[in-house]
Amino acid sequence: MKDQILHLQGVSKNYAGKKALDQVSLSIGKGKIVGLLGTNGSGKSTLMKIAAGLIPYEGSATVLGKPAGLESKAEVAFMPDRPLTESWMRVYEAIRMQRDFYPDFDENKAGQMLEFMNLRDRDRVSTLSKGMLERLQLTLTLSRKARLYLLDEPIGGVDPVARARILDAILEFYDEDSSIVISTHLVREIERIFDEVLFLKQGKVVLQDEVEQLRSKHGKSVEDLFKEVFAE
Amino acid sequence: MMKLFKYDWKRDSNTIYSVLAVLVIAQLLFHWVGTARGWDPMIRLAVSLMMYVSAMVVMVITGSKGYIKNLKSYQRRLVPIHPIYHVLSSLLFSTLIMMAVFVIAAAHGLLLIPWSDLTAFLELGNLQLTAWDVIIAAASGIWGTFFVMLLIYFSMTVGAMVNIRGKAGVWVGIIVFIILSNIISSISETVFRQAGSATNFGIVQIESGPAAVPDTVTVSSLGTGLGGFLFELVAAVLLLWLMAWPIRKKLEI
Repeated sequence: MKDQILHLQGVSKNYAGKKALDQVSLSIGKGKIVGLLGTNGSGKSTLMKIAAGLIPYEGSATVLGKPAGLESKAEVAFMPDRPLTESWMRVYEAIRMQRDFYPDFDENKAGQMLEFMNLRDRDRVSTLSKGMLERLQLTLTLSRKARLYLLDEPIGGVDPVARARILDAILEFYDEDSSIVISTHLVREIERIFDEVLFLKQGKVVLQDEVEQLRSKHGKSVEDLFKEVFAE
Repeated sequence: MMKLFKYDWKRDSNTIYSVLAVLVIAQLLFHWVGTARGWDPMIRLAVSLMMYVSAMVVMVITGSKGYIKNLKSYQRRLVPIHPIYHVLSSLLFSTLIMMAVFVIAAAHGLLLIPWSDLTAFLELGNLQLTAWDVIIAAASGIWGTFFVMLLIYFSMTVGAMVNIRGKAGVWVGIIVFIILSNIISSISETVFRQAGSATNFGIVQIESGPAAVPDTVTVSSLGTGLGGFLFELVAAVLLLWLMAWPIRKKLEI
């Protein structure tokens, strides 16, 4: 289990009687880019929040052998689907806050990423468009030398140009010794960067395999498989 | 904790500075105009106190809103530190901003009132305060502020456990605060026979005697009420320990 970066065993999560996750068991190995795919409401964000140590859960969830929670937070860089930064901040203050609380935060890398993303230090977070805010959040997340990166819908709700920029940034700046889990329902845009995919349907894992294996086994792209699995 | 405090301060510093600036300007203007025009001292005192109370209310609300924002913030909840530090930094922030209002009030009392007609009105001429009295009063004020905010934050945390996005949590928090503050006050008064616990906001009592005898100043909670203070200290430690658990294990985001 210690060779796995993320390991979930029988993880369940209820919200007011509704099952968001139902006995989910999975493992993510080192150095992988994993796509966590599912429709809206399938449990992707819930799974990520559990792995990030943010919310209570039933079952067992460990990151590098440590229980997901206070002990594992230092190993995980999480980019949620909601704003990570506080609206009163400027970009440089958001960077400083990451630097203050995370010893693994690389300020030089953050500077390079800001330049790559066309973000300016003194811009107010409250004035950034959705696409620019996603870029800032990605900068804050990938500038850490974490062992596990969790990106929740990093390209959701942004224009195609910003999407391409974000995906290029992920490939350019992620640490190859770490693993990344990216949740999305925009499969076509992001399929090219995945090593593995994991399909989550109504809170259950219905498929987990390497992308190349899936393509050779089924003779289809991941997007076509997605449409098949999640067809209503 | 101090890093968290730094960002709590940066978030709300504009609000704090503007409230304090308006308070000082309003008090100065009101004092000078009221003195110059000979307004009724009772009314002047009442309006002045109301301004201080209003400023305190704004500070309590600012501190409380900041605390709940911290509980709901991804950026704060992701930070790899023990949840107790989120509570302590918010408490430190709230206590300091409320003490700022006390300091302004104290400066008002020390610098303006002795040279106004309010001195005679309040019969302050016979008042003899020692340095120890002042220290005790200040310490009691700080402790009282801290403890009340702790009760408020504890109640808010319980309310947030109920439903962080719904309205039911607000009412649960209010009920918890009322019950808890009454329980602590009752224990303080019954067991320690102390009329002024921190939850009663009692800090200074002035007893007036005959004109030839100086007024006496007694201070609650500290000094004369060591048992009550120790009880509140133990209660504070327990409440802090109890708050850390739901933040870590129960609060949704």
